[in-house]
Amino acid sequence: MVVSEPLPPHVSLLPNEKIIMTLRRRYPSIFSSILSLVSAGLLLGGSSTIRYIGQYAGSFENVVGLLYLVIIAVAVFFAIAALIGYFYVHGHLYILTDRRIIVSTKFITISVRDVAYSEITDIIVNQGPLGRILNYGSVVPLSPGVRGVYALPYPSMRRFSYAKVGLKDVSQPTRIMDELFGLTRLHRSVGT
Amino acid sequence: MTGLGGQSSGSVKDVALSVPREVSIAAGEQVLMVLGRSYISFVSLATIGLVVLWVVMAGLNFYLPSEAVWVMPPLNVFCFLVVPPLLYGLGYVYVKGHRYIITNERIVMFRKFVGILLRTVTHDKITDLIVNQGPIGRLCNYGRVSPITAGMIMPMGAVIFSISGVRSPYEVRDSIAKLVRAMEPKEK
Repeated sequence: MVVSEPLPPHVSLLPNEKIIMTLRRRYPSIFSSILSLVSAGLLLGGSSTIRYIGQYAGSFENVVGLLYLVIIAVAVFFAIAALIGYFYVHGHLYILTDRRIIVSTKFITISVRDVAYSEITDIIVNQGPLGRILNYGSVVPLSPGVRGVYALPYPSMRRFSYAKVGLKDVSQPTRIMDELFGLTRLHRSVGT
Repeated sequence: MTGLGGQSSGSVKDVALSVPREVSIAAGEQVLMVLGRSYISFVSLATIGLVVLWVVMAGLNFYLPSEAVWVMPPLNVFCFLVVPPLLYGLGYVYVKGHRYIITNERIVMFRKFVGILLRTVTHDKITDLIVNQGPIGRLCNYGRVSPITAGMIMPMGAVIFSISGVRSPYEVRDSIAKLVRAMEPKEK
């Protein structure tokens, strides 16, 4: 879970700032996204494909051949998505320092969010069924500038925003939330 | 108190429900209240949904063309015999998966049903407290208490991430309001 590695060039620390932990997005999480994409595709296009095969295939051999083609197409899509997903997941880096959280994502574009612990208003943890089995989930620290819509548990509702603001699919999300709560608590008591 | 599930280094006052093991209590933090969602809050919603479904089914029974009538017996069995026990049964598990933990420092809203959804908010960040009671909630004394912060604004904070279906919502609101006031910086 905790990774010690050189910082990417687009992330820089303040003087005397110490890194408490660095986290990475878990690779298995990408499979739940791919599976949901494939199932959505099958739901949308499955019935029409079967109907098309039934109408135009003619002989039984042709039907079997076309079904094989569909299976190969899904498998190729899955393999390509898994390969792209590897680089996508590898581009996520979350750094917890003694002053702030840095959420950095690098995949085609670069997006970096910096949030000081004193500005965190809510912490949301969201774990799906696969995440519960494999012990990963998302931790979203909200602030007055980054509001609740980013923490919605229903991905379809937050799709309109592509900003990366949370610690997506990290290992042991509840433990990370506890760490964050401890750090916000520490900064609150220092502040007052 | 029926035991503490989470790895706790803080303390727990006398509470009827247990803290789920996914929630940890920090050192020096005191659990003041552990609340659950009342089943009646789900039952009322589910019953309204079922009544709507049954009205639609009754309409279909009357207006469906005769050549499509064969669809109705299996559909009736599904809607009148399969859906209600399934809905109320799953609803029970859904309701039992809710825990709202109020400590001297924060509120933890926890839901475990298929996945896990957890929100934690410290009292000093709460800007508004909204209580919502429907007609059945008024009769049965349950409601939704929504702690609103600058980060979790209406309507999300009031609907998805809130203390839903708790008994005596005004007492809960008052307890939270006291804690919020206690955390406010003293005026000079």
